[in-house]
Amino acid sequence: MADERKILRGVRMGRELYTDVDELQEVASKEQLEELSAKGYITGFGYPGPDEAEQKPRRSSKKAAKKAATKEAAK
Amino acid sequence: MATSWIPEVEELSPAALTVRAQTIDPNDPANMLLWPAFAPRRDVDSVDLSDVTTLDDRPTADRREWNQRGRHVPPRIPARREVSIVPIEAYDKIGEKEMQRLAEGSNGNEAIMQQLIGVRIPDRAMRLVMADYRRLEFDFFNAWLNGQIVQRNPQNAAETQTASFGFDSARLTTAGTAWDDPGEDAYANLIGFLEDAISAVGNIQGVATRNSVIAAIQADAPDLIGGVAMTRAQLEQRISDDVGQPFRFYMVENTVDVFTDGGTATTSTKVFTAGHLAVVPAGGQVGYTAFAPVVRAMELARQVPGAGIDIRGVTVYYDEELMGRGLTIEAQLNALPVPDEQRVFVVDTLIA
Repeated sequence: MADERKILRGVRMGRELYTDVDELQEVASKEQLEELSAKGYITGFGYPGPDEAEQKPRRSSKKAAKKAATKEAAK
Repeated sequence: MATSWIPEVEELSPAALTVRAQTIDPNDPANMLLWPAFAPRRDVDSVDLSDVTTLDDRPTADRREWNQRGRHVPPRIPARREVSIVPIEAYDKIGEKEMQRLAEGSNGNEAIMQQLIGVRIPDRAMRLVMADYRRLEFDFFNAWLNGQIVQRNPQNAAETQTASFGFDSARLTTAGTAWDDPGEDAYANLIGFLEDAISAVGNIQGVATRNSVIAAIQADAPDLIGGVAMTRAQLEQRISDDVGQPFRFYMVENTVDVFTDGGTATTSTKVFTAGHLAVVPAGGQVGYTAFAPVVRAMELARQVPGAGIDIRGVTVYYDEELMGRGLTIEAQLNALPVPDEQRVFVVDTLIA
């Protein structure tokens, strides 16, 4: 379900206030967007709604490191 | 048709109980209600309000040349809001068994029974009045801090309806990272927030918040010479010096018992939403509470014109059930807190 990307509550990052979706996405981390979505302050970012369930399971850092090493070796 | 005699007793009549209910003063500090200070009562003529919010609208005129027209200030029609107040009501029941016990205890003697019940009914009614005022308190803080009012079905708490005041997203804000995060400086965040607040709402006199937020700000505040931590009084003075405005913390930790569902179970709930911090503008008022007339109060006022019944106040009346076997006492209030958008400036610090 792709609901509209919207900021319902302006987000303060340090002393800056963000009310624009694109500007916020540039400065906020995934975890921050997740928490703000969970609180219902922003919508449409795919967290933690059905969009996230469709995402591939996260790789553990070990697996990611192994994959990166394999890639490097293939080169 | 059998009817209960209770409403016929003069001291227990709806008019007498309404007059008594209206003597309860929401401003009395013993009642622990804060809405009368932050959003004082304002009488309105109807439950339908069309101009309930002050718009963030500050048009400025221009100078003109002689014999020319000045600046046209167009009306801001899209920002006009229509709000309808739905009643707040609490009721208590005197069931058939209680009626039976009362009648047995008095051996059917009506005078003794009147004495017995004459003490109980007013007390019960007054409890309902306070329940109404507490709903108003709860709704006020929700309106101020979250820009919304949540209406629930009293018989099924899962059925809710949220009405938003539609405040600008620059006025109801949130922190990106919790202020008590090790990487955040809660004190600096507060100063930045207050500086923005002063340009948004004008002069301020403090902030209303919860204890945990004040503690986080105090923990990050600059130490005194010699590395001694500031006291809260020193912290308030320091903030006041830093922003150049009078400043104090209004700590709100009041709780009310909110019913969890249609039954009798309640949850002790803080009226002030966790982690939120709201600017208190100079003067201390953030809006008003609209009090609309209650139709049954108007009827009572017509019946007993000399009683001085406030038609917009809490109204107590009876509802008879099952051919007089049960009696319900109801207390109704048609009131709604209406924050003024120009005086609202809130941040959710994300502190739990």
